[in-house]
Amino acid sequence: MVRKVPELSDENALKLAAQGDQEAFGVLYERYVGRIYSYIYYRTGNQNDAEDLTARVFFRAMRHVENYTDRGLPLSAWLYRIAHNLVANWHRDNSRKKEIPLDEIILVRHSGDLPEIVLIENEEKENLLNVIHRLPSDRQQLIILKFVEHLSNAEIGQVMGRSEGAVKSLYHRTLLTLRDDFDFFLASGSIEKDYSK
Amino acid sequence: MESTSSSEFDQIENVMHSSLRPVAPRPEFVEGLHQRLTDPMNPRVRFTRQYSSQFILLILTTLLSGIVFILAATRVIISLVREFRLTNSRS
Repeated sequence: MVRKVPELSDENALKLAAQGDQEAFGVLYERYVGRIYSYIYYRTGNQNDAEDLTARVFFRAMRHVENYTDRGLPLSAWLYRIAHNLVANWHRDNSRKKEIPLDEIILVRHSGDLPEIVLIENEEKENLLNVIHRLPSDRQQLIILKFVEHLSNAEIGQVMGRSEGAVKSLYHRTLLTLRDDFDFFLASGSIEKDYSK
Repeated sequence: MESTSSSEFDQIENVMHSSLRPVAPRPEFVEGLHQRLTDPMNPRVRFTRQYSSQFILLILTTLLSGIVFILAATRVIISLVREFRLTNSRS
């Protein structure tokens, strides 16, 4: 019998997965693997570690899926939390290693643009990523969840274990920090001036 | 002053919106991991699914064996002591 598993809601898929239904867990995996990978990629900065940690997130989720219902969190928030914990461990274990820059994949060349424009855009993005990577871990997490994963403040709060108000406050403080670092970055004149050197 | 900050924040947000885009995983990786997760012959998966019941069974068996062993050993010791006393009293 072929079951239309992709039509399963998260809730039903979770119930089945908790009973050992691997197909149901596979549906959840397909639904969230892209988001979890993207989040981990931005936090680690390289493909190999992002793939390794993504695999670990889903194996860990599968091991503990029976306990999930007691946590009162949306599945995505639970997965992001697992991902965050694994990334934190990864950063601790790799603190002495130099991270591979994010711009390898993120800096996309648009075929129709002039080379000068592409260069300026790439420089802007590189500066932006450098600025973000200098932020404390929780602020990096907030920025990535907000702008890469497009989560609301309430959803970010669920992932980070904070209230929506606390997330707003942290976001405001992060913007204030970024504003100082962005002075150079945002002033198009200074970019052009720098570019013309 | 507030409007200046707001405008600056808007600029920052616009830059981040346009620059920070989701990164897709390799399709081979996604497919490979899917197979590993759902493969019933995967020992890691089998271990995960059967872990609870097997672990509980192992613990119960170990406890039961331990109790039986302790009872048997105690009986042997008691009977040996009684026999020793009987032998001593006769002599």
